[in-house]
Amino acid sequence: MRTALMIALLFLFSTAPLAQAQPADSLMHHGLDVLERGVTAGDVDAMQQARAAFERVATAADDAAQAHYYVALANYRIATRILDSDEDRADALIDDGIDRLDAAIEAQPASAEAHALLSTLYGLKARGGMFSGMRYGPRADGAIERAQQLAPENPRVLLLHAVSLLNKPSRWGGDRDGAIAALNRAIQQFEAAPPSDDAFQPRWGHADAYAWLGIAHMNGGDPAQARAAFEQALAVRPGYSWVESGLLPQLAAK
Amino acid sequence: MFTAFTVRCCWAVILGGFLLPPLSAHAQAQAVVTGVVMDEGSHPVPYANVQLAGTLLGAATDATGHFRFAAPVSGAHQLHASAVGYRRTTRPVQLVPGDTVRIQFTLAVDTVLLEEASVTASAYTVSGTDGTMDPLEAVTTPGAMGDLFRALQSFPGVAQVGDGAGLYVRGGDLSETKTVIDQSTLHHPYRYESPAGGSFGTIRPFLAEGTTFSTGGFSARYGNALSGVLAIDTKDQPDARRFRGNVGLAAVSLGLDTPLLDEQGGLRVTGNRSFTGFLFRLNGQRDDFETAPQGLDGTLSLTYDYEGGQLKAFSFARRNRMGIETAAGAFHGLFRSRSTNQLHSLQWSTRRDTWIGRTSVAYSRYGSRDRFGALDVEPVEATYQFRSDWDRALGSRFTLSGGVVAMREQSAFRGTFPARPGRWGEDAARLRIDDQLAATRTGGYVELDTDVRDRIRLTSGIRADHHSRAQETTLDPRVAIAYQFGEQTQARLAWGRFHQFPDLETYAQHAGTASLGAQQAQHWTATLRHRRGPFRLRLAGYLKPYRALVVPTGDATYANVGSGIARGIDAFTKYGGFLETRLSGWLSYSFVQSRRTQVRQRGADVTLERGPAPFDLTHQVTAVGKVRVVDMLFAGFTARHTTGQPVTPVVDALPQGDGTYAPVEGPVGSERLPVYRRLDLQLSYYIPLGPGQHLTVYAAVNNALDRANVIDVTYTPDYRTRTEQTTNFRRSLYFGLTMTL
Repeated sequence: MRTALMIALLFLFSTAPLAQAQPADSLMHHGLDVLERGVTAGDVDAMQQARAAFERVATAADDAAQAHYYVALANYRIATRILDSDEDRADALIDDGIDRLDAAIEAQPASAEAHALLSTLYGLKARGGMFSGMRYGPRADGAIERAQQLAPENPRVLLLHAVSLLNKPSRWGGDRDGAIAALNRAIQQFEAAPPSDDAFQPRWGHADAYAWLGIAHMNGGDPAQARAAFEQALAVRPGYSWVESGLLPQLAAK
Repeated sequence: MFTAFTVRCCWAVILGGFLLPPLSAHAQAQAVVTGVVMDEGSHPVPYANVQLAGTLLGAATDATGHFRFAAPVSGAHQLHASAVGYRRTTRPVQLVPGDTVRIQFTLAVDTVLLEEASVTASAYTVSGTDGTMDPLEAVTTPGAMGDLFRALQSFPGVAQVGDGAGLYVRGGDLSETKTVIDQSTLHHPYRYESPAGGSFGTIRPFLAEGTTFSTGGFSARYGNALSGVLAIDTKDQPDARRFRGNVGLAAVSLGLDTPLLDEQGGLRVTGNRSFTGFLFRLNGQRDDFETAPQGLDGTLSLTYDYEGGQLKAFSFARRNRMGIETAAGAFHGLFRSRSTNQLHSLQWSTRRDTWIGRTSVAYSRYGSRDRFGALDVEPVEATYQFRSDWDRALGSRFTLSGGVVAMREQSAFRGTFPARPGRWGEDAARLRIDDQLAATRTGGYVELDTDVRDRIRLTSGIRADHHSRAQETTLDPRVAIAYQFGEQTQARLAWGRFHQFPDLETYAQHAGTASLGAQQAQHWTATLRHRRGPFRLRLAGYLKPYRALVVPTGDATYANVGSGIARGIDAFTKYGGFLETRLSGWLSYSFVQSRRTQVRQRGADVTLERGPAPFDLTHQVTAVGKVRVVDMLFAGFTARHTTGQPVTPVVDALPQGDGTYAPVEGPVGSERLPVYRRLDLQLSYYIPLGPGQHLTVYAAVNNALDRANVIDVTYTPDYRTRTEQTTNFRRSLYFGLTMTL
């Protein structure tokens, strides 16, 4: 028994540089941490670093579906941040994100998370106005419908569906009240969601749900509700730059 | 004190001590990889990903484009650099522990190298390449009348002969361009066939997911085509249920798309009834028709996706008929035609490891009865096809492609032909044919696409084809090299040899003893492309010598004695895209000289002579413009100016003793018809009804200036009086609406 223990110790020592605690997982954890910090601080550089980490895993790993998903998520975060300042790069990131999610969905067709995020990226492509809306709107709708079929109560599916309802023109099915209802449902689901054993299962979105709820109320002319929602977002994610430096000042200026 | 366990532990530590130092030393003396990633303008590329191939080792560049990482590996490795919007680049590195390797990457903007004049069509894909046209662009092109072939005629390198929809590519005949649907060759791609091709293409634009139109220097993937290939991939499975309807002056159509089997499968079905009688009556152009062109067609597409592949069954069937008063040479008469056309294919697409494959089997059948004076024929053609294409990426620099094709054609010809060229009269001598023929063509190809250096891409391939009736095997090497100048400009040179076997109809009419072999052309092409923002520019020059062309040499005899040469310049510039920019459109110009061996009739004698081909339209300029006028109201125009078509004049006539005359022709192609000009206008209003649902109301005025363009000349029976035959497409109004729910 002791001999076996010694051999195990010896093996552990001698293979330490190779094992590196499963480097793909390690790199994914690193990417998730950096992305989390980057999103909170509104630090595009950090988001880019996180994206690069996910891309390395996506390139080298055998099962790259999750890495592709996170590359797309990083792209989404960066693109929404730079949309006004560098539209060409934002477009390239959105296109790349769509390709990544296509790859993720090809590997895991039943991934509601991937379908929902794909819908959002198509929605961003459709943002250019009526022309783009006609091209990409149906694709965005198709993807979110698929996500809803697969996981109707997934909080991110609810969140991204709500974002879609908020951003679409009413003649394409935009519905602010419907969005508020979906956001409230998403918040309930975020708060009720049990902790997952899978460290790489998507966990993001709780603070975003409050932020988007605030936006819905702000656009609906209800500043008190909007402020309450923004404050909730900051309670969930303290220091969330988008809310703290963007949405709250915007509300105050109204 | 020293127990056995302690001793073993000491041994373990000692053993570990022996083992660990080298590993520790190895870890301490790692190779360091550092460098910078720049774009082609020597600007740093921030946040590019640099990674050792097959490992997780790597780093992202910083804001200045620099990177640095330690690599606990040694030896030869490949280092990738990639960034969003750039083409991935790979460099070899030799890693030595303790050493630092410095690498500089220059990333090229991500561009897709396509065949000559590629038209990449996908309803939702904007490929960013020049010459891009998607189905929506095709159907909104004024004058195209919703037809893909007519829309393609507005591109350079495609001569528009008369009013037909035929694709005459770069000085080549109509038969030299093949249409391929889901890997299967469609032998009769036109509706209401005529010498100028036909009035429309068979395949409706919205059936196409992707279309590649190659006008020269094309891949070894395609054989038995001397000039061009139009390859159409039909749509895959739908992502939502949609009903489509269209009601117009000349057609009614319905369509349904629906996912099946929990979205693993899909169904697309369309039905279309076309009737031009009302359209012609409304526009006062009914007189020429005994039976206005009319038809019925339908398509059915079933797809099934499974893990790692897809099965797709596609069927289309069409029935047309028409009757029109027309003239050929000195004969005036009624041309009646009815035809059926069908294609059924089953395609299997799969991806295995690094292989991507597509394999299909198909059956097609075309039958018709055409009557015009002494001509009364009922050809029936049936074709069985097998085709398999495979591609494999070999590392990041090479792509290997290969494939095989086998095609069995069976034709039955029954009826009568004029025994002498140009003698169409009811009482002209006839040649009776009741013949059945069959031939098998087998072929294969191998092609290697190589990323030689960061800016240079070399494609080289070879294909071989064998034809059972020609009893000949052809070998066609092809090579193309592309060079990327900066981010937005690309030059491409291509050379290739191309063979095409005569069609079975020619074999059937050939009464000579000598076998007819393959016809040959060479393509020399040079292309320059440039893009800047919404602008696209393409300039191309080409030279195409022909040899062994099959030409008539006497009564019912043919031989491979023809030759020819086509040379020309294509220029194309495009701005924006429909629904992408408020203003969009393109301007294309083609210059072509096409000379080839043709028949010259001198009374009873026939001689061969080289002269301008009937499709030698020296200058062709086409301008297409589309604009969103206000809200969702769109207006557009297409203006076309084309040099008159060459014709061979009849300069005398010799009496034949039976009251008829035989023409004596002047030099072939020595005269030209007047210049062809035409302006088409279109107006459409788009009404969104909900997500994915819309109604479009449209109206078009074709040939708005009502020009009586001359498309041919005819003669009186004694050939003394010549008459110019003018277009059947005078000013006409068309309107209708389409709805998607």
